[in-house]
Amino acid sequence: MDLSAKIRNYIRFHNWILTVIVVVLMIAAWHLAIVAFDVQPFVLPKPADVLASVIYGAGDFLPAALSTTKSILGGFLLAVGLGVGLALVLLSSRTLERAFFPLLVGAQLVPKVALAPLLTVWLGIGRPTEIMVAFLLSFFPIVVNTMIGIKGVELGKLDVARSMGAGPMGIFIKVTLPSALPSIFAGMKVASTLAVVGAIVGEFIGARDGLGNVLLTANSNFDTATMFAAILYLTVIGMVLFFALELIEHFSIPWHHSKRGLNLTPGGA
Amino acid sequence: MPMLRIDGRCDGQFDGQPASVHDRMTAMPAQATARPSVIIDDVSQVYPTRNGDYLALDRVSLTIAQGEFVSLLGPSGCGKSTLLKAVSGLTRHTSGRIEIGGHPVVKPQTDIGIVFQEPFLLEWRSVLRNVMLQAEFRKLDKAVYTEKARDLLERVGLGGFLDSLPHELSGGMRQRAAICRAMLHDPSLLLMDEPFGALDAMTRDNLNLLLQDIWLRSPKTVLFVTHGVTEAILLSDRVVVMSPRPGRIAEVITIDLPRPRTLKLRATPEFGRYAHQIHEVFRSLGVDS
Ligand SMILES: Nc1ncnc2c1ncn2[C@@H]1O[C@H](COP(=O)(O)OP(=O)(O)O)[C@@H](O)[C@H]1O
Ligand SMILES: [Mg+2]
Repeated sequence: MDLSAKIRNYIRFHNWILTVIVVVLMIAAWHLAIVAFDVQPFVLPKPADVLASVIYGAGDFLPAALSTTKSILGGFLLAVGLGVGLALVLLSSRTLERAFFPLLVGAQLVPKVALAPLLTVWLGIGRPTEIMVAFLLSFFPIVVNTMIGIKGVELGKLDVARSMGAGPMGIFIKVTLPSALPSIFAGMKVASTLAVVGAIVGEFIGARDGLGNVLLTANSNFDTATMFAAILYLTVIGMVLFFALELIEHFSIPWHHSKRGLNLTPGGA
Repeated sequence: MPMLRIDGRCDGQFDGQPASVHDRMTAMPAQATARPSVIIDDVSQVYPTRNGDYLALDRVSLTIAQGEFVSLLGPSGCGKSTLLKAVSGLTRHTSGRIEIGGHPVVKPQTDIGIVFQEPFLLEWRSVLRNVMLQAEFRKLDKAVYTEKARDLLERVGLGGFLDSLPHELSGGMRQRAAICRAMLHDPSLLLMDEPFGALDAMTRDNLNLLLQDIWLRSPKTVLFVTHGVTEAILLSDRVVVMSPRPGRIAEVITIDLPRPRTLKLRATPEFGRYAHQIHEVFRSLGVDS
């Protein structure tokens, strides 16, 4: 095999190389466009300026990122706990499910972000509101996916377990819950991206720290490079959370065979 | 819907003493004194549907002797699964009486082994741990039953796959694992609902022989649902032919063929006569088979 064939072959099995090439080309095009059309820095900064802001502004960004991360995790973990809990309660009785599931679906249609100003009335400005918005956005996908997962267990498996003399608790622990895990993880991954959105929205409405606050301050100063850098930090936080979940999923349900490679389709908002 | 009674029951044909199986290695099963294992008496099942009630089983009666291998044979939709589920206690029949070992079936039976068309293995458990689920739920001694599970799996040719996950096995291997799981606690009654229905012909042949082998070695009553005429004749002491709409027993045919039966037996005139007899029943019912 000659060299170019070898390289082509290597790329065929390492798709990420193509992605890296595309990203590098896009950054180069970005830089060239600014130079060619003489774009003002407050409209669009050069990639190098953004990078400089990311690095030299780290002293400001890192504490802000930590604060935002706390709100994201607070809202997300609350959503996981209460979401899975509510799903279990609703599924414990046909009547409860029938009474509340339509409500749940209806509640999904409320634009949660619009509730944020209302939340400041009850919770004040700052962490509690941020956590609450993150929670509200990430709660529903978790409830719904948990319910879908639990209801989706094959009835034959339950029959087999019942014929073994298994009680409801034993069946839940050994059969139902494990088979619902892939769906629960899918819900958590969607929720993780929504929790990031929620925390930022919470910060936008008046918080004094966090990356949302950094974004607004930079915006009022026409400091576009800092805004880009803040968005980059936010993206990285979202990615770390998402891939942490991927990792946990990978190790807790290695048997789940729809999982060939990483699933890169998080829900957006 | 009125319960029309055309001629659903054929009590005389099968309520009497069925062929014994204590002497099953001989050509002609002796007439018999075996105790009944399963009594199905006048059992009906009505399913409520959009278009009113649907009579899935119409006063079916059948007695199965201890150690007997009985097949329920019939086209899709004639109520075979419904009857098997009723016997298992997993569903409640609408009327009539079912007894297993002298006890009425009123809730899911736990002294049975059950195998469905799909293996219903837990994807996250290894083959061995899937079989051990039976012991776990029954709180049986772990060490003792792990050994038993290994032996069983070894016997069905899965000795080298104890730690494999279900998705790493072929369909036939998965079904063998499901059979081991159903037998781990050595139940006296095995209920099988088209266990080989989803498998290719060659795998099905192999598993038919394997099932016969297992059954010949340990005395078990088997209720075996199938829509395969050949499979039913090959395995059964009696073949119960069912007809649809409403589900009824049309004919009960005793299979007097020597055991162990081989695949070659299918080419013999005796076997052909049984097959012909069953096809005649289907034809008289206007059922394609
Ligand atoms: N839960 C149910 N509700 C309504 N109708 C059912 C239900 N289960 C089975 N049936 C109907 O009862 C008939 C017999 O079903 P089944 O016992 O599964 O047949 P078989 O196993 O012989 O194919 C079919 O017509 C089927 O549609
Ligand atoms: Mg069926």
